[in-house]
Amino acid sequence: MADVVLDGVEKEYENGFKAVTDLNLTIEDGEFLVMVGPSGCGKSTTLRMIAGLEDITGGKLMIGGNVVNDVEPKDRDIAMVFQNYALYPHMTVGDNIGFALKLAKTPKDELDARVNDAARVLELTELLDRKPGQLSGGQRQRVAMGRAIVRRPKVFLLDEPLSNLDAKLRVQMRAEITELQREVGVTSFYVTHDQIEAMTMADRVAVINRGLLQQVDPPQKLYDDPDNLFVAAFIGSPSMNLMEGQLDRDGGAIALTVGSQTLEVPASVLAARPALEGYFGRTIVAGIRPKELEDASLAGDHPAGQRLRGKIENVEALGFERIVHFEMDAVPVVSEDALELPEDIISAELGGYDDVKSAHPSRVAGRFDAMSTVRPGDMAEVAVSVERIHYFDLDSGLAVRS
Amino acid sequence: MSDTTLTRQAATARAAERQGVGGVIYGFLRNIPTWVLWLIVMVWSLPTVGLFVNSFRDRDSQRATGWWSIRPGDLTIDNYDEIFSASASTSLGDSLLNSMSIAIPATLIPIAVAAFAAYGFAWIDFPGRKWLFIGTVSLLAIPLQVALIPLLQLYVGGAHLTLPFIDKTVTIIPDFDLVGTTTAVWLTHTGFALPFAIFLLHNYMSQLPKDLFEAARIDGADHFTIFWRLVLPLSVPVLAAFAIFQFLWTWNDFLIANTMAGTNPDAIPTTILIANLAGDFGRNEHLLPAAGFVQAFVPLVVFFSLQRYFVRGILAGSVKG
Repeated sequence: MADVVLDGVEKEYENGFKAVTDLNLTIEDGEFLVMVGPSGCGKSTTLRMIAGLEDITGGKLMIGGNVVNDVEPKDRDIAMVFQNYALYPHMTVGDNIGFALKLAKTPKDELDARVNDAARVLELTELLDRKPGQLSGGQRQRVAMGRAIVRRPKVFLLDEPLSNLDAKLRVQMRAEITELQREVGVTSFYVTHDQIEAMTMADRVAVINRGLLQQVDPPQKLYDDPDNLFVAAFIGSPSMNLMEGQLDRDGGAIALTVGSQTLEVPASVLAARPALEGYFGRTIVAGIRPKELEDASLAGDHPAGQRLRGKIENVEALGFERIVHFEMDAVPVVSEDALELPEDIISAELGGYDDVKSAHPSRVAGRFDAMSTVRPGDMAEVAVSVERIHYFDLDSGLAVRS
Repeated sequence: MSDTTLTRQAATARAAERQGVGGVIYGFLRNIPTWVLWLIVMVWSLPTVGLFVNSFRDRDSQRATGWWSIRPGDLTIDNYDEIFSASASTSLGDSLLNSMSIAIPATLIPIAVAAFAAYGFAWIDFPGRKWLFIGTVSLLAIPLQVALIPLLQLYVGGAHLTLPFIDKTVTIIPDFDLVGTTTAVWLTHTGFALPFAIFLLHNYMSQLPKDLFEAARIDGADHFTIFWRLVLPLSVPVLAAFAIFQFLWTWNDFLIANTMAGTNPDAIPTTILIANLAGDFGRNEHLLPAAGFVQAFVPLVVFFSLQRYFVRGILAGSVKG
């Protein structure tokens, strides 16, 4: 058991590309920390630096209080699960799991006992004599886990271990890995591009983009209170609706103007974030989660000043809810960082950042109750939970909080 | 689901294509590669069949008619009797042993050396690795024949260097008196096999999944352990392939054996013995088919015992898919 401390860790390749910049991160003893980010953001590089498979070009890496920058992988007391499992194809499951112990010259009876223990925990006992080629994807995944836990290492490193499984199995293995980690209580560092994995499995999530750490927080905090535009846009599906708006004083309350429409925001919002006062009269970024939008006809007596209207472009019926996309004439905000998100988050028809900025109107997604009867082409009357709107500085992209 | 759907779609498409004259022509064209393959098989194996049949016919019938005019009553095993009891100074049995003592070291030693070298070139990062590898591979371009005489001189007298000005001669390689031994033959084969062996094994080993090596490193394996426990077992198909090629080539070689050992009747391999059997002016030409089949028997055994290692998919299950 040990904590892992990354103190200003950097990775610069010989061609000058900087994969990771000044990374400060502490993985607490026994914690399950998930690092999430778009592809090429430096998350796998970070993991490989902790594993010792990649040289660290700056900063300090400590495992259990010892600086291990120049320590060989095998002497770091870590275990790693690879994206494609990396099982030894010519060895049986039992030999695969016991390989590290065998190399460490563990006595035969202890080796057998530990392999059998690991196999029992992972329900692999009947498969110990099979070769990896005879196993299903989920079973191979479990063998890879077994190879890690049998060593009782200080730290588990998991590199997108579920990305080769089909969707159903992934949900199951997600739960299995989380439970297993809790059971053995080993400090774990898990890398993924899948925010669902990050949110469901982690004690804390670290969001990283272009080699820069964006925010480290428990999943709920990350969702409720994103530090900046990137985290706001990255976490949550569908993504948070971000558009330019303007705040003005309107008697006792505040008026938020987005495009040609105005929302009444209660004064309590200003009381919670006095800094917003400095933005009066200026352009600010307003972020509204799709779940804060509801079909007004289902929202009862929602105040008329807290509604938006827009033409419905598309309705995705998911059974338990409907995701409604409607158009507004507000200026959409897409952080340049967010443009590098996978295409399912930023729709493909958006060209570059400038196109996006000039493209009126913006498309807004709302998660309506399944009872909603709206259809494409209708004008939507949308109730907005105005107290839950997020505000960001347009220039810095940072959340306005205080 | 998608698999079966696709198969069914493909089947429907094929059925549609088969209809009418176009379908007949299409079906015919589709089978052309198969016909060509059968043709090649015929062209290649027919002479061998002819040789095999002739090995059971006596001298006169071999000279008078072709092998296809064989009648069952003509068959005789006299030719085989004769070559096994030939009263040459070296018997066929001795020459087979000589062939073995050339082909076996000439196969195993290059594999052993080249496996280490190929692993080093593929997975150990050392300065000059790229240029050393290019240099090694470009040795493939050197024809064996240009080295015959220099090598022979080396085996005859060793290698000596006379230093200029001080007029002193230094022995670099002493005279091991290798001429006329099987050692000289397999040593030559080994040297000329190495570039190709390293090239072939390197290409295979460098294709092994990188993750396996990283997993092994984390599991605590050093280079030697990775090589011994991981790379060698996974390289069995390519080792077997190379072993077959190399064994056949050295077993069937005449030129090197004749140059290096042809002068010593006690050291000659079967290929030379057979050539000598025919005698001056082809007096005993009729023995050649039978002797050829004795000579070919060993390679056949080697091939069929190793060919199962060519089975694909030895890497199955290591990484995704």
